[in-house]
Amino acid sequence: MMLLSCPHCGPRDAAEFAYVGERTRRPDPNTATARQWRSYLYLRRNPAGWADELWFHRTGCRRYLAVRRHTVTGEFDTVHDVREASTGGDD
Amino acid sequence: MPSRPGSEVSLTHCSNQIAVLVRADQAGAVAAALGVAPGRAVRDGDGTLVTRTAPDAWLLLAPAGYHVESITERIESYADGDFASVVDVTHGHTVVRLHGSAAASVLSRVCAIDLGEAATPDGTVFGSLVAGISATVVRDDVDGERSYLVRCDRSYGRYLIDVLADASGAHPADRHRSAGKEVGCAHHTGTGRLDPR
Repeated sequence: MMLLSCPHCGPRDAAEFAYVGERTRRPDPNTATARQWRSYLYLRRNPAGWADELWFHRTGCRRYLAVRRHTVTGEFDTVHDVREASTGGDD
Repeated sequence: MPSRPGSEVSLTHCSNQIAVLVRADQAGAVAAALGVAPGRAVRDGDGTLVTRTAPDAWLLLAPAGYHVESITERIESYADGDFASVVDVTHGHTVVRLHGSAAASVLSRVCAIDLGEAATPDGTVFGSLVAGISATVVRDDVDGERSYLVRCDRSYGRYLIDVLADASGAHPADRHRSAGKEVGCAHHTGTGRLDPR
């Protein structure tokens, strides 16, 4: 079982969350090139190591969380509410 | 093997409670006026249970027959320029009350949350998985006796009631079993279907 510490609800089973994906920054649709859009829509870093991810606490506070997770060990580093997260990862 | 709580717990269907979902800025006027900390539930003067299920979401559980309009008006009077949404979600839920000294031990069979006094005292609300489905649980003791309101989407309601009845040893199948009868096979073989009860 993976335990994820929600900043609002406390430590919870990872089954309570939905994994949304890597945190990426959406390029400005008015100025982005086709290549940038393709990269934004389809390409992921998929690192074997620390990754900045977005998780949704679907059965608890129903908030989106910015999560830093090690994709090899499954360990979690930092977990913030995306609305309150000012640093770390791209929004 | 855990002891069977049996008669120390009761399960009451109370989906006729009025449920209103309020969403508002967590730092705004509505949040300040409702004045309930996240994860807490407070019963106000007219019997409405005001629960804060998330920093920006409140679930108000009012007695059956309560006028939703009066809640809307109340939130409007708080708003003072703040934006808030008020949605009557009564039609979409199933609510059951699990009451009695064994309520926590019954609920703990199907829910991973720490139901001890230190972690979840009276007046706690939390959203979590209950028997694999998404549910909101409010600890709402009655006259000092342990009591929980469990609320889930209506389509899972029958299942929630069955699974809590099963966990409390009140399931019809348990009664058959305790009477020395084998159930299940007899129901299944004849028609190939579960007994609809």
